[in-house]
Amino acid sequence: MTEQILSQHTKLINALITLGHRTPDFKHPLEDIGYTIDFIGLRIVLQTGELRSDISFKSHKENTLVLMEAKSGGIEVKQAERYRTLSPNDISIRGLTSLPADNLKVQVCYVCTSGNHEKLLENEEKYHLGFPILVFNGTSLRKSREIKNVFVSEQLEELFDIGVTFDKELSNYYYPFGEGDNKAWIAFCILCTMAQFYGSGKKIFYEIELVRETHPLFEYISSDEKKSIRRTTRDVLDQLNKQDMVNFKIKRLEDQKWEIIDFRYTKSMQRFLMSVASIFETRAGYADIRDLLGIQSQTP
Amino acid sequence: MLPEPEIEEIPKVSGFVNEPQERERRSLKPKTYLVESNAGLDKLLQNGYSIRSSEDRTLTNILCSNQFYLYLDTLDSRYWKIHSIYYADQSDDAIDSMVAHNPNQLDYFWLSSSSLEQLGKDKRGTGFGLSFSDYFSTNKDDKPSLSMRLWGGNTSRILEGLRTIPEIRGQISLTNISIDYLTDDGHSNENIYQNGKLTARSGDSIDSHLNLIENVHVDYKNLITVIEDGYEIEYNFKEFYCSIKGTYSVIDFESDLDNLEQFAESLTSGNEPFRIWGLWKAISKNHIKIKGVDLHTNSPLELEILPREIRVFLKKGSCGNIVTRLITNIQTRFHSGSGLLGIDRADIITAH
Repeated sequence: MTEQILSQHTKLINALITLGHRTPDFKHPLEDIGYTIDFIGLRIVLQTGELRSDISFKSHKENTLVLMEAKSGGIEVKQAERYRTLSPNDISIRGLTSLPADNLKVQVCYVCTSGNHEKLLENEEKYHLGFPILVFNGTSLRKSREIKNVFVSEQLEELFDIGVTFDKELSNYYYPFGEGDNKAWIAFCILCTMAQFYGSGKKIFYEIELVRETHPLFEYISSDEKKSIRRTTRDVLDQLNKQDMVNFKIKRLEDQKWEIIDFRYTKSMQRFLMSVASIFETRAGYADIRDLLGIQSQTP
Repeated sequence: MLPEPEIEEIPKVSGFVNEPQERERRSLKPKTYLVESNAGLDKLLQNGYSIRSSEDRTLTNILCSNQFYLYLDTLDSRYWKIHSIYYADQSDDAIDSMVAHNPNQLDYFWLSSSSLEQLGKDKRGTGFGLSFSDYFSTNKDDKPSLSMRLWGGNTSRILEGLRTIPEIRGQISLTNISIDYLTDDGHSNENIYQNGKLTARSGDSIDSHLNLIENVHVDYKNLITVIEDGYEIEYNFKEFYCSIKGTYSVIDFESDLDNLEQFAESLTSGNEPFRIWGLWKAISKNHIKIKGVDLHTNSPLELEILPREIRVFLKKGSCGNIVTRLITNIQTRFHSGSGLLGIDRADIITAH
């Protein structure tokens, strides 16, 4: 069942980061036409409310800023309205781009997966927003051909009309998970970070520190996602706290403050933690891990 | 001050033990170990080593086994040179034990097969050693392996010839080379090993030996700088946005990995030579994530294993030596045709 560990949305965010980020093993067609990644989670505070673009790309040559909004469901009407009325001046006056204010062009673009493409088309038919829509199918990113909305940049139009293909598995280093991902995967990431904390000498930590270290872009995800991830973190730590294992012990010091009392970088520790993560795969959830793993307890 | 060791006559016996390798093991020839340090002398002191300073604050004597001294040069506080004129086997053991003890935060200079080949370029080669053993093979009874030592000239052509044999092409991984190194002061016949050890086997100039050490030291330092400057990832968090600087590097394989899970399991055991401890999880059939710790520095490390490559993710401030350790040992334990790639598939460390 490993095929479903990462949601299409998580893959999509990583695809966008890869697209604007130079790596050894992917082509960078956006950069080839002069566009580079500018910011992740760009927050624009307007009088009418707030916007947070997932990823923005800039081109000095075309003096254009592209704001990409990744959608896992349909559009939010109020947000869409803010995007529609957003002017280049709203960006430059707040110093949110290094592009010159004169003749600055701002392009908004929705990005979705094959799973919610229909939903976005329905929204477009209803609200006539006029933003181009990119569709990610797991391996390529292409402009939706069901609507006629176009990019202001001919080069972008041409690039996404043909589409960009990712010819190997995308990295998920930058955006490891989101709300819709497999819980065992999230638990795995959290446990790894805890092991890394121990290595760096950080034996006392707050839950929020663990989450932020595990997910570098945690502060840039939705509040619902944040809550869900924090719940999972708590579940993982609670589960570990119940264990009475040889050479392993964590302890809750305060409500959200923990201490790693004992930890060893051993093969059995590796096996133990990987099995703890996999427990979250099952609905049965939090059985006694020692029994499931056949690992001996410290106490008789 | 300890008495100088007595020089033993090498026993003149017939048979294998009197081969040059054995002679070198018991040799008292000048040798230098290049070691990367992420801590300092204090760590060695804390960990029980007996250290005696000298008039030069960058030169320190380390007493080993109450028998002999190693002479430590810390002029470069991160890249150390440790000299010895004691028996090679005991000096080797002392260095190995110092490096293997994780709290010392030491590591070897990992000279990949291609780095050794590069070092031998434009110099008169007088031999080489190969050693390959498939660390990741699932077949315990028939693990592919190859080992040989050659003395004499024409080393490049012999290596080229060996690489044309399809059955062993992926096993031609240099673990040491012998060269004649000439300087204005004279010459030195040197053995250079994969772990950054250099032995002056013969010659008429110790300065030539020291000059060669300095060249290896500078080359290696530059390589680590390339890795740490360009291939470490840094997030810049601001109130209104986040930006990312840096990217990952890629270890590129010449052939497909048969069993990604077995590979990940072996790689993350925490054992020598990889010194990586971590957890791994298959994200898909062709994609495994490893999140763990580099036991040399206890820094976080992430790897992604694909059938044809490993992506290496280092956080800003990590030690780049993990990358050279990985690639060097993958060349001698998985496939010698593996290389380290940077942006746009540019070679950082070439495959053979």
